[in-house]
Amino acid sequence: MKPIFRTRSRDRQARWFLLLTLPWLIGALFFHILPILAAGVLSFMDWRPPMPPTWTGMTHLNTAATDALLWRTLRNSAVYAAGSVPATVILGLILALLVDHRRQVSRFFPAIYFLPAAISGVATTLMWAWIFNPRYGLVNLALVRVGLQGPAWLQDERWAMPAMILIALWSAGSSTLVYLGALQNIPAELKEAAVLDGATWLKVLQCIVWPLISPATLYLFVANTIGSFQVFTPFYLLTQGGPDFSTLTLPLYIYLNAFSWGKMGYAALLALILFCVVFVLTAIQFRVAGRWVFYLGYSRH
Amino acid sequence: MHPASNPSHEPLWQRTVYSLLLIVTALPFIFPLAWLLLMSLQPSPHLYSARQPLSLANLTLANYLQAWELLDLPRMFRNSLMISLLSTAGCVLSSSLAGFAFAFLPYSGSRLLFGVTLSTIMVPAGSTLIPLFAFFSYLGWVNTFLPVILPFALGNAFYVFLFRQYFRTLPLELFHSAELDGCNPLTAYLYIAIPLARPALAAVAIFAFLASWNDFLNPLIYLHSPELHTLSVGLASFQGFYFTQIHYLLPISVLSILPLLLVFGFAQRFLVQGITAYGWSP
Repeated sequence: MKPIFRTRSRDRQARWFLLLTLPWLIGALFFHILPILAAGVLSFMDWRPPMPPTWTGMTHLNTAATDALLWRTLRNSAVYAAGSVPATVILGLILALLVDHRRQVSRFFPAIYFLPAAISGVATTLMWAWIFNPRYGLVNLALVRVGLQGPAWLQDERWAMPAMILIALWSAGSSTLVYLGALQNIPAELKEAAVLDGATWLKVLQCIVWPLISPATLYLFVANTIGSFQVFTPFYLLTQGGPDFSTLTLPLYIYLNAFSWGKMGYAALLALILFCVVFVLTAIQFRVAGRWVFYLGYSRH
Repeated sequence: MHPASNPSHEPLWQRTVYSLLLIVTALPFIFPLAWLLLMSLQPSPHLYSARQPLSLANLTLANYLQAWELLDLPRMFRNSLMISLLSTAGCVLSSSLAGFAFAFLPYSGSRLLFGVTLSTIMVPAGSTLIPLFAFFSYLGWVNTFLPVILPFALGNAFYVFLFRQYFRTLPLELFHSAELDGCNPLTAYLYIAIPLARPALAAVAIFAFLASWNDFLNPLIYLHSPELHTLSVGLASFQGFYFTQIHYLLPISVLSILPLLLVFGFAQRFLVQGITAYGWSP
């Protein structure tokens, strides 16, 4: 990187750098980095908020090793990620390809696809409670119309998690926008040349478009995986982990341990486990990426 | 994506099919919201009967009026708005300052610090929850607005990255001549970088606002007194008490989405541009 402020000494340069980055560095340190380390310390302690924490050594680790609910939780979180992340990415790609089909790309439809992701919060989550309502809900009323008897969705052990994944799919629009950006960066000559050489639409997609948007695919897989391990609101509001723990995921399990069951120390250990899971998954994704992600020489990133 | 796909060269039926496809794919994204709005305007007995068809004939605001009296909505709006605006202002400032420094002030440690910045993306919110709660209780900040504002207001790696990328597209000559004219990095940031970064500022501001407005976990943990409740927490606690009373829940849901729709309507251009231009979303 070329220095902009050339006449200044290195010392002053460094001082300015630290001064300007200070707010963010404090934020990163106190709200991201130190808490992870603190979670490591807290997971060897017992702590019920009004009282000061006390050392318990390896107790929590032993508890975790035999905690059947923890394994259930990890499995649920994995199912949720595996069910929602690839589906979101693929849906995002399909919609982006559809919009990008025209040279004069519509601005209206990407915005519509993106709207749910932008506004999703407590209100839209509660809306889903009503959409999946077994008797009056939109989904089951529609199924009755076509002569089907819909399941009880959020109240049915087998259908609660699929319903949660459907809710996650509603926010696929942000992936669409990321893909749309990647698609619009593809030089038109490349595709035109391929078509002149007789390539079909599918061939162009497979051999030109897909490799060129692979950095976006990697980004979306990594970011959406991390995101899927953070989702809390729908699980807390719609099912509280039920029925029969079928939708108990890690963030909710951490919350329940800490704030409903007063097991702060154990929750800290769970927090550390959550971080390790996300870290390992991210590392694997970057590792595998070397094999299939393609960076064009003049790519901006 | 087909190179030959120029609308004027296509036959009418192809254009029609294409438009229809766009509309059909947009429906699932918009329909639940439209349905929510329609439901909230129905007379309340209709909501509790599967047989009563929804109709556009007898729309009523009765549910809204009743719900308005039941909850202290103006206060929740005020709280949400204050928290979101302060978080957004702080977030834009911290992130843009850091992005500017990473873009223009090379320093022996900046590569390392940029790596640290990006690695914070990998820290899921759930895993910092407990230590942060311990930290904020130690400071005596539980049941104040500080724990729901500060973590947002000190910035976010995504936004720092976006600002850095954006600033790097600005012509360097501007800053060279600014320095000759006596600018230091801070004044160059204020008078040159910021005025030129309006699209990035707008995108980050809106993302930060939406993120803070939609945040539920932090207000749930830290804001216990009803007079501190934000819309998200208020709405959620309301659901607990009146789970079956959908005719209250629906209008309040609509009211709490309304400001977001307004923000989105005005700003979607920046959001869509922000994401498509930089290839990321938070």
